[in-house]
Amino acid sequence: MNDSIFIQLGILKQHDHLCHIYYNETECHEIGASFFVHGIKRNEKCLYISGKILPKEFIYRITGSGIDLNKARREKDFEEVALGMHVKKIKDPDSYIRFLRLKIESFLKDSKKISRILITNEDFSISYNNADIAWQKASLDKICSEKPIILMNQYEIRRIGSEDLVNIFRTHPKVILKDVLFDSPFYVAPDRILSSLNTESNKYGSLTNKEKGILRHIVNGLSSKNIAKELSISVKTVETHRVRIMRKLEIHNIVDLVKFAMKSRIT
Amino acid sequence: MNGRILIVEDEKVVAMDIRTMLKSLGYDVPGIVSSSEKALKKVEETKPDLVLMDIMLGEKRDGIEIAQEIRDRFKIPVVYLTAYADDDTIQRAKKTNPHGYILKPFDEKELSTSIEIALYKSGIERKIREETENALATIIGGTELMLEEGFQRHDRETLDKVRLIRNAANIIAQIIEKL
Repeated sequence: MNDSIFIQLGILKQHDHLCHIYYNETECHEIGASFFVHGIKRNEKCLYISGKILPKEFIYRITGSGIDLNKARREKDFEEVALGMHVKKIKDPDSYIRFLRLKIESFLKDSKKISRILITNEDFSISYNNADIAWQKASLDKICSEKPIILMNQYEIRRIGSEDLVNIFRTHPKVILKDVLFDSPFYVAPDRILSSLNTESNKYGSLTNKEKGILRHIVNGLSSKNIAKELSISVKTVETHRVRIMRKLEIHNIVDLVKFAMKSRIT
Repeated sequence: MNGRILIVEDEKVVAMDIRTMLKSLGYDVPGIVSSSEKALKKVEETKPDLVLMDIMLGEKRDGIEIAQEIRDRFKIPVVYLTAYADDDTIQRAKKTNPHGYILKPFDEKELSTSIEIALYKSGIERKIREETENALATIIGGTELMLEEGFQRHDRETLDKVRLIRNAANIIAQIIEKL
């Protein structure tokens, strides 16, 4: 554990799947930050970067772990950075990652004993696209190139609006279980995620407006007959469209078609 | 209600007789075939509304086996024709969920009644299949998607409920599939 950096992106609100690795299911209600703090050993230096300073409940939670958080705070064993306060000043992703790097680097320089770093994207309103994901990943890789690093899951995906970012962070190749570093069973290479994202959106882009309209009706559960009625076209035309949509998307059954449409938010 | 009916019968005279009856009742007969292999090919070619199937075709694969395949692959209803009905045959035939069972010899009235009922029943079944397909796909696809997203996006209580919905939807889908 000592030569790894532990980066947790976001609070593990409830049953994050990585949580299962550490906790048995009944304990999954532990919220992430407490989980993060929970494992701190005495005199271990920790950096916690979040939208907020740790709320009081955490302190109650971690008293069981033998760490006095307030004391740790006083003695600077536990450093918190409330990013929420800075994020208003952060206008672009680059300065965000610069800020993160600065914090992490100075923390590492300060502390020979490596412990944990927790970053949460809570309260962020930066909207991410594929390029952003790439730089985030690249920057974090760079920051953590010397040591194995563990990335835990993001906070509230819906609020951040970047499932893709989460996917990359969530699926880091290394995880720690009971002080043993091992390969994450959830790891998916970022290039693979990005390329699959690209092909998915390309595929969707290849649909005509008419086809998108029909797909929307299908997801709404309308039968071909009713779609035909709705659009004043023949049932046969609807069927032809459907076959063409499925061919374009390389999808072979309607359940998968519906899933694709929901993922692409065509509803 | 008219329809296109394929006859599978290895006795030529009987087959011709049936065709005459069907024509006079107003049905189309896209073909008569005498063997199981030809029957499948012809069904694929002509996509009839109904198949009249002689059980005893005097081949390795009898009419019951072919009927099963026709139902599974093409969703086309089958009405059996047979000269006799021993228990074993009836039991096997029953398993293929036939739309009718006519004992030879039969008259025009028996034939037309069986066919009308079979076509009506299969029409309703087809309607149920077609009308529910997209709606069911949305329930199953949507719930599966949520289960795939898992704890990353939903809490356990939600996922438990979603799983129940998905399972129930699968049960309905299976029932409809078997129609």
